[in-house]
Amino acid sequence: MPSSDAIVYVIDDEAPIRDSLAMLLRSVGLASMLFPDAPSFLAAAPWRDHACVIGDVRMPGMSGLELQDEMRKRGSALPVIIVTGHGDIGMAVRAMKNGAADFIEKPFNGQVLLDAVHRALAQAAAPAASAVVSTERDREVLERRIASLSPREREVMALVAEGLPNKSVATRLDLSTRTVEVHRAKVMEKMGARSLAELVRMNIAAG
Amino acid sequence: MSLNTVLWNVGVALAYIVACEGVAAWLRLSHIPPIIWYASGVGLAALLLRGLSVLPGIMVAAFICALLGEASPELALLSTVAIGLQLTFAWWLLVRVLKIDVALSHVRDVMVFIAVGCTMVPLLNAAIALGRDYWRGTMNAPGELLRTQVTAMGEFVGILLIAAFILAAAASWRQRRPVARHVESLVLQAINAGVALIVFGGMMASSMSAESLPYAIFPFTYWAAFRLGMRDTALALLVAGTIAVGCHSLGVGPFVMAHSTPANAFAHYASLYLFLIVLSTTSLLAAVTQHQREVAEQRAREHLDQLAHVARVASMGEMASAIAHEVNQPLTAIANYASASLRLMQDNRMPPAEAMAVMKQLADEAERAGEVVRKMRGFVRGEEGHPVHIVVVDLFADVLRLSGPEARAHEVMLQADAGTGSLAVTADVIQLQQVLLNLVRNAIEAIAGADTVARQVTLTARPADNGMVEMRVTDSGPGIPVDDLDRVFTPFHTTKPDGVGIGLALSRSIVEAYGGRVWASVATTGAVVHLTIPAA
Repeated sequence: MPSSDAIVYVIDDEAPIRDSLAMLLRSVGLASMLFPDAPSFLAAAPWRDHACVIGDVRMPGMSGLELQDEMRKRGSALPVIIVTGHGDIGMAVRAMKNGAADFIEKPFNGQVLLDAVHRALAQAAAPAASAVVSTERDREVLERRIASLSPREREVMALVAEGLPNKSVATRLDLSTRTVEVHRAKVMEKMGARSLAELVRMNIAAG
Repeated sequence: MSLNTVLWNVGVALAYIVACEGVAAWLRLSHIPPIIWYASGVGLAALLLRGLSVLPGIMVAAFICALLGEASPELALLSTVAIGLQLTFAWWLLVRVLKIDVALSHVRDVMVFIAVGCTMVPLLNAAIALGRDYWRGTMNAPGELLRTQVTAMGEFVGILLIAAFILAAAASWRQRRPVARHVESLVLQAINAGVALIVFGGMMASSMSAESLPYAIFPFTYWAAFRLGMRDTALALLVAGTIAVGCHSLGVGPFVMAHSTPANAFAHYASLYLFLIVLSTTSLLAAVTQHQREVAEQRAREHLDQLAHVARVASMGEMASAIAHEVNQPLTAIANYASASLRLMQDNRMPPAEAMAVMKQLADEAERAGEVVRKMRGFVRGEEGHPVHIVVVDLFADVLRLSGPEARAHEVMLQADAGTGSLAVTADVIQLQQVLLNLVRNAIEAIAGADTVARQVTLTARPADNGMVEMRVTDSGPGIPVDDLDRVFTPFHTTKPDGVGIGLALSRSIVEAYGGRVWASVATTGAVVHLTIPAA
């Protein structure tokens, strides 16, 4: 159970989404604060240190991406989890490159979201030093895994991690969609990635 | 050599001999030789259409014709070789050097065909004749130069008239057209021949035989040019030209001067030929200009259609994305509530009152998702309808007017029969128009894609049971396979390569919104789509 001082800031323009997220977080003992849009969240600063942000990639007024930029400008390092709808994977990948902690596709499995929140809170709580150590160890693992990929699998991974759907990857590489699916599953397995977001994160870490 | 090539050679040879011997027989009959010469035109057209593979047929025919013309075998051989070389040279210039389209589909093709194709053989023949006169020393004999010039003009006119017709006919003989066009063509050709006989046959009172009389032919060849295309224009020219030259050779017609002797009547051929050249050139150019305009209009229309299709597909893609977003929102909330409740209930942390509140939320969100789907159907169907009193005669008139261009483009006849003029229904005008336009468009496309002779779409309306009016769209297309009769109305069922398969499905949902029904059946010829709409 995470420490009781942790809080999750939920920003979504739709009340049912906010309320249901709050309830989901409460079910695992997490406190939350709800905001209908990014400006009202920004106005609520200063934020708690042990916290993370869940924001929709598309919101009226200010998008999740813009919000992230604004927070960095104000010197906040709070992890941001981006929630995306159908067809917004490209934007989510941009957000990841921009430093987002994670992205989740709507509609999502509650457990996937909670896992992401726990990871983000751990990241917020972790001192910088231990992060470096784990990064060093992670890097070795990552490099070993990438070395195990075939050249074709590496190509597929690069494009998939850009947020391209299988069909576009197939067109780019002149393969059938079916073949891309097979390669993609192989990549996920070899990289030990449980979600697309993880794969994107690995791709970014690998440079 | 394939059988096909042999048959073509035999056919071309026969046509050449007929053209040659027909004119020769006429020559023997007439008072005033020489006259128009068609055989070179037949040979040139055959070469342009079939290439050098038919040259043997032409050569054999030319040799036979020369022998029939009582030439010595040596002379016959010489003239055959000369004809073969001339035609081959003209063919080479047109096809290999100037690369004309033998369908004569552009102004350039027609101009090159007239300026080069029709002149090459007569010019070479004239050069040979002049050379022969020079060699024989008869160059300055009275009438020789005139004879050479008039002969060349006659050959030029002959090639122009017959070859233009053969090329135009070959380019368009596969084209189908509505019965009305066939009738118009027959009427035109009959009137044209009649007027030519009156004008050139000297059937006008002599006081009316003004020099401008031959211009009476122009309206008819221009009629053909602007309404019926190249083939009818060339045929009208061929008929009028043949009648004019024939009559002149018999000593009648406006180009035969009063008190003329055979010698100067012969000279008047020049003015007749000049007239025919002007008539043919301007009419053929008018026809090809009109043809080009029609092709350009057709392209513009197809381009617009494509744009409309792209827009439709793009807006459907956007719609799909918007729908996914709208449906995902409530689904996400439902998933969150359910998963949170599960966890809380497992730990007995959820009082019944809260559980009830969550259930209420779940129901609300599920309903919201349903609302999205309902709104989407309304959006696809267009605005909510405003039922008004619609007179069926007016409705059909609008539909005919709006589908007219497409029907004309595919040469389909549109007809409407609204029964008694007082028949009326209650529905939204725009929606009902959309349904009928959609059905008529499908019918036209069905005919356009088929090889049917009858090309007709008919709209009918009759009172039906239970206070309804039944409308039918009947086409003469290939019909609908019996197994598909029900399936054609299901969304995304399409037989068109670029179709979305939404038209009939939408039509059905509109008609059913008014309490009507849509169904398809198969008639003896083509398909019938029926729909019922409440009578006013």
